[in-house]
Amino acid sequence: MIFLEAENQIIRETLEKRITAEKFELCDVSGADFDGATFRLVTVDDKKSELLVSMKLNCDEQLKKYGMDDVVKKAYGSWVAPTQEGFSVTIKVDLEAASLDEKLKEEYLTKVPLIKRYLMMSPFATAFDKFAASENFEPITIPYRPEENIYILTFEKSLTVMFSIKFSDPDDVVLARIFLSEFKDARRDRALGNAPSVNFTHAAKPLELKNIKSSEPDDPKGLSEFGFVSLTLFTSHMNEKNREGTIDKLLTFRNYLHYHLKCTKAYMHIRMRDRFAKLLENLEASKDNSGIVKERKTATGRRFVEK
Amino acid sequence: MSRNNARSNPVVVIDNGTGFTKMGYAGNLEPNYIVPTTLCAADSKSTDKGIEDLDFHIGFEALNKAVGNYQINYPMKHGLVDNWNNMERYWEQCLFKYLRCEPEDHYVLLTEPPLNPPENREYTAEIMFETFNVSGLYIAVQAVLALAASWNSKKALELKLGGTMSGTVIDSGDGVTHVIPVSDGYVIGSSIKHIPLAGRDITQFIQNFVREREKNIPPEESLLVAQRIKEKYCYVCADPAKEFGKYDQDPKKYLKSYGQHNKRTGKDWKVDIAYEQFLGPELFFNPEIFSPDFTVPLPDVVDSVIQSCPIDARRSLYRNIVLSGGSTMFSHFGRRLNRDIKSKVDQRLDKSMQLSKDKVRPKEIEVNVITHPTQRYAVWFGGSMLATMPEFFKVCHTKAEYDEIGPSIARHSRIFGGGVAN
Repeated sequence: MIFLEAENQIIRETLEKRITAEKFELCDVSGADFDGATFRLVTVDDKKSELLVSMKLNCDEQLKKYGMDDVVKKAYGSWVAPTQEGFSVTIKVDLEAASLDEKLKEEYLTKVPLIKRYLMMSPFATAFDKFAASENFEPITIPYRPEENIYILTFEKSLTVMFSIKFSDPDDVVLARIFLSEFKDARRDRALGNAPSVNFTHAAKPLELKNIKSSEPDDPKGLSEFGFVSLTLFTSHMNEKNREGTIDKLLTFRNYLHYHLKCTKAYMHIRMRDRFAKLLENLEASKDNSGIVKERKTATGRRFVEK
Repeated sequence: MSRNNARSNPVVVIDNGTGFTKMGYAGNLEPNYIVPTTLCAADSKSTDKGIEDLDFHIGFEALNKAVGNYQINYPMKHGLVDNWNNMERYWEQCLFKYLRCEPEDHYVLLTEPPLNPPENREYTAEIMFETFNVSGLYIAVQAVLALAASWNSKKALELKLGGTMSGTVIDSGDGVTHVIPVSDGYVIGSSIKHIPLAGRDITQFIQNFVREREKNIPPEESLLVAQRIKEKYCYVCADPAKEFGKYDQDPKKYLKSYGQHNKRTGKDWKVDIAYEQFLGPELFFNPEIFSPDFTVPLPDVVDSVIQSCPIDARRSLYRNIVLSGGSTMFSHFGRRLNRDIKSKVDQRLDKSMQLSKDKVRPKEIEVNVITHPTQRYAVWFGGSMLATMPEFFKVCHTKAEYDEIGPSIARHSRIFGGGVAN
C-alpha cells in the first residue's frame, strides 16, 4: 500500500453489512478517522431501517465559512438529515430502500464512506475556482489539527498549498527531509514533470507565510518542532477531471507522510533484526570448539570405542 | 498533538489472536474488524525498486492475493508473536489502512496471552513507541479482559460481581481450551491448564457422525455443513442418556432437517440432523466419545485447577467462573457446567463432614458460571470497556515514560482494581 485510501472502510463495511442483512437490527458503531475526526453510525428511536451517519471535525467552524454545508448538500442531496448533537454533519441512509434497489445501494456505498472528503473539500474547491477565474483571494487557513494548519495561497501567479506539520520526535524530522527530497528528485524524471513542486523547510517559517497570521510559534525553540511542506499546483491538477483526486491526495498528505515515516522506521528495524541474526550466526561460527571432543556415532547409533 | 488531545480520541483496541485479529475503537460492542492474522508479501528478490517493503497485504486480502510470488505468512504462533518483522508490518496496515488513525493521536490497548515472556512485551513496546510513536500503551492479559467483559451481564450484576478482578476464565476458541485462574488481577500461572478439545474438534466429530449416516451430502461440503450444524443447532443437554430416550420416543419433535442447493450437480439435497445436536458439545463433558487420548471432562479440569490454587483464593474462583470464546456459545453450556462443578464441590464437602463425623461443618461453597451475550469476542469487548474508563489512562504507559526509562517499563503492566471495584 503506497497511498492511503480516501474512503473510510469501517463506514463502508458497516453499511454494506447492514444493507445486506436478513433483518434490520439496532446499530451503534463509532470510531475515528485521521486528524481527530470522529464518526458514529446509529439507528434512532427503534427505527431499524434507517441509519444515521454522523461525523465531527475539529475545524468545522472554519470550513463552514467556505461553504461546507453547500458542498455536502450538493454531494448528498436529500440524504442530509438534521445534524445530531455534537457532530458537524449527519446523513440518513435508508437501509430498506437500498436493500431493494441495487443502484441506490451502490450509490450509498461509494458516496457515504467519502464523507470526510466532502466535509473538508470546500476551501480547496473555492480556491481552485477563484484561481481558475484569475480572481485574487485572501489566503485561506484551515486549522485541521489543534496546532497544525493547511494554508492555501496564491504567490506569483501560482497556487500553493502549504502544510505545517508538527513532529513529536526529532528523528522524524530527519527522515521527513530525506523522504521529501525524493519528491524533488523524482520531478527530474520526465514522465513525472507534471507533478507539483515540493518544498520542505524545517524550523523556519517560509516567506509566503510572512504576512499571514499563523498559530505556529515564532520563537526558534517552539518552531524547531515544526516543518513546512509546500506543494505548488498546476492548472491541470485543478480542472474538473482531476480535481477530486488532487483534493483526496492533499487531504491525506500529512498522514501519507507520517505513514511513510513509520514504514521507513519499520523497514530499518527489519534490516537491523536481520543484521543482528547474522551477527549471532557469525559469532556462533567463530567459537573455538577445538578443545571439545565430540562423541561420534555411526548411523545406527553405535559408538566408536578406542582399543 | 499534545498528550491531552490524545486522551479525547477513542482508544484503539487490537487483540491479535493466532487465527484472527480483532480490532476496533473502544466504546463499541463488537470489534470493527475481525480479520485473519495473515500477511502475504512478495518475494523480496523479484522486485527491487526500494518500496518492496510496502508490497504486502493483510487479513482476507492476504488470503485472496496469495498467488504467484506472494507468500503467505502467519506472524502469530500459539498465541505468541513468532515473526516480529511481519508483525510490525501487520500493525502498520491495521492502524493506517483499516482503523485509519494516526497512532500519535491515540492510546493503544494490546492483548497478550497468559505466561507471555516479558521480553515479548518489551519488543511490543519498542515497536509501538519507536516506530508508531503512540501516545500511550497498555498490554492487557486476555484472561483479565474476559473477566471484565462479564461485569455488565445480568447474573454478575445480581451477584454483585461487577468490578471484581478474581475468577476462573474458561477460554475456548477454535484450537485449544484454556482454564485460567485470576486472583485480584493477577494470573496464577502455575495452575493454568489446557484441554486439547475445542471448536475444531467438535466440528470434526459432527462431520464424522453425519457423514456415516447421511450419504446425500456432497463430500466437498461436508466440513461446511458440519460447521453450520454446530453453530445453528447444537445445544447442551442435562443428561445424554435421557436425551437419547426423548429423541427415540418422539423423533418428529426433535429431528431437524438441513438442506441446500448443490451448485456443481444442480440438485437439491437434504439431511436429517439428529443426536449430533446434543452430542457435539457433549465432547466437553464426556470427551471419551471423541478420542481415547484425553478423557477428563471439563468440569473436573476446572475443579482441579481451582483446587491447585492457594487456599484463600479458591472461594472467589468458584464464585466467578467466566466463559469466553466462540466454543462456549452453546445454549445451556453454562448451566450444565455450573451443575457439574457444584456437585463435585458438594461431594467433597460431604466427604469431609463424614470423615470428621459431623464435627466439621464447612460453609457451603458458592459456584457461579457467568454467561453473557458478548462471550464470543469477550476479550476484545473487555478491552473496549476498560479503555473507556477514566482509570485506563492512569494505568497506561505513556510515551514520556518510555522516553525517560526505556522498553523495560513494559515488563510490568499496572493492574486495574482498587478504584474500579464498587
